[in-house]
Amino acid sequence: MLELRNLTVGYDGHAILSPVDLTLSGGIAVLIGANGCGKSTLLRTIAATQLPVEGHVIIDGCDMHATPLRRTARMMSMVFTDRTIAGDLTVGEVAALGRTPYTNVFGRLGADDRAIVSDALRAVGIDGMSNRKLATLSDGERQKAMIARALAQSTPLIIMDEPTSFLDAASRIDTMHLLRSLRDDHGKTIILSTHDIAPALAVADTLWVVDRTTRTLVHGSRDTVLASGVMDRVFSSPSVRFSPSALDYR
Amino acid sequence: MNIRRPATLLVASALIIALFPACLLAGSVDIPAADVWRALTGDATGRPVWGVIVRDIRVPMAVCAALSGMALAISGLLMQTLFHNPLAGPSIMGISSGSSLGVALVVLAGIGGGAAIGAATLVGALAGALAIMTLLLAMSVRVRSAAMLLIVGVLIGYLSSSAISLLNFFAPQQSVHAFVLWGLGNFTSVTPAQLPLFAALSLLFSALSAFYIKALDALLLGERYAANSGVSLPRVRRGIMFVSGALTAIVTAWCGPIAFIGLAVPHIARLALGTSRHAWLLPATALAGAATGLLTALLSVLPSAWGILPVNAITPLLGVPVILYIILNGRKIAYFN
Repeated sequence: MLELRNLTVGYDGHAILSPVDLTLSGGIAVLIGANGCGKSTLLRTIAATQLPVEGHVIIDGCDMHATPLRRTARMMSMVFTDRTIAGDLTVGEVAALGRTPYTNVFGRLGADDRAIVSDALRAVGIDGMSNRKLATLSDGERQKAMIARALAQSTPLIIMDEPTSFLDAASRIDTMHLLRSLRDDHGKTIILSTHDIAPALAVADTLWVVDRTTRTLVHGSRDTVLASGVMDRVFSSPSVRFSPSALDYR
Repeated sequence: MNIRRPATLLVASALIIALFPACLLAGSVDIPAADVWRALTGDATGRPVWGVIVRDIRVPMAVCAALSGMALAISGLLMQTLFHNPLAGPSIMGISSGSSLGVALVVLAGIGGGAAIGAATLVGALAGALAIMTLLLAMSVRVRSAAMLLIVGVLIGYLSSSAISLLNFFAPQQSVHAFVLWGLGNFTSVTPAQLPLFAALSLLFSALSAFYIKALDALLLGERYAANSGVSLPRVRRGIMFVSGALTAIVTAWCGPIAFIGLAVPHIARLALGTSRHAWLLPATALAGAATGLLTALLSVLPSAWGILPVNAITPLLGVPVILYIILNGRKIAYFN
């Protein structure tokens, strides 16, 4: 369903990664790499909020950079890394904002929209908090509300840009379990950018690793990429050695 | 349904209904309520001069005050949401100063015909407001911090004030006098003949703001989430800034640069409603703004025998306590966290 065709990402016409050609037809793709290697640029380009230097991002046959924004919003939703400050909205109201691409000019929700929002809150496990202000929640619960918003957007693809970076250890693992449930129970395709390598690899079906030395995106099934040695190149240093056997996180 | 939300709209409406007749009754000439009613209904049995006072002075002033309060409050709300900054407002961010500079170019420098408040000052105020809004928008691309952007707005306001001072220095005394009086702020400068135009423009742009309710709600989560929700940020930014700038410019052209209503009223509405959802917040802000405008007008005529107080002598008394409350209680107020 997601196709990157000769996709070159970068700024002002300058590529920061070699052209990428890949297809993602489902499951969880985990994007990892060192800080500043271009992960966020790649995600922004896939999400059509940044123009590619060259190439195309195709979802279900539609070129994302030639598709109206309202339509792309029905194809992919996003969860960002920041701790969201959402005015004094309730959890239910935040999740309901996921219906924005489907509502009229005044954002009025129909009965179908309300049912979808309720389902999203239930899927994420925060339906009991629907009337609580987002400001009163813990960081982990807040991020769940943002995932519920993404789920309420009813898109086949969810892109998550380091969604766990400000969460405590328990919330990080909890979030990974949630992603597994979104994949298995709701059929979502997920691209997850993260530095939490161990818990992310436990849920990954596909690995996208940015190798900064060669400026390439190495991609493939989790086990193929782990066996390729790229992780060792990217993450090991004289004092740190990457060991796949330490990733016994399932 | 949360009872606070409709109750807030009802209370704000009730305040308008109470304050509007109070504005018609109050003034330096004591006119009995029955005679005010006669003047309004065109009954010729009352004193003719009372009819003139009510119809040609008090009614335009009350309508102008209500519409100005509404327009400035909506303008402030749009800016607060767009810039994700609770301290944004037309006066703080230099928009009123930009409008003032536009009016100063007309009144003091004689560009576009000179001193009378009319079409040329309206165009000047609009051009000034939009120029500052555009500048702020351009700056906001590079200045990501909301606090720093606020300081940029304040600095731009100083620059406008500096230019106005220079124009004042070189302008003829008569023009300077007219400009200083205008700058004090008043709701009496809309003539009965101008009232339909003033009302039409302020109501039109207030109504246009309703078309941004969905985008404003999406912006509550920040620009990236808004863009991911299908909101075209460049188009929405331009539209909201045009509507917000136009609302400020319309009021400033006629009534002078009025401070604090745009900054404080959206906070009163948010605190009363308990939500930032714009389907509730926009009408509540509009009604609370109209009520605040009427209250300001009423307070301005209370000294009666000594004349009418400048609006800008009153609005800080109403606005500053609200802003101080917001700042001092920021940790307890949900929309800050």
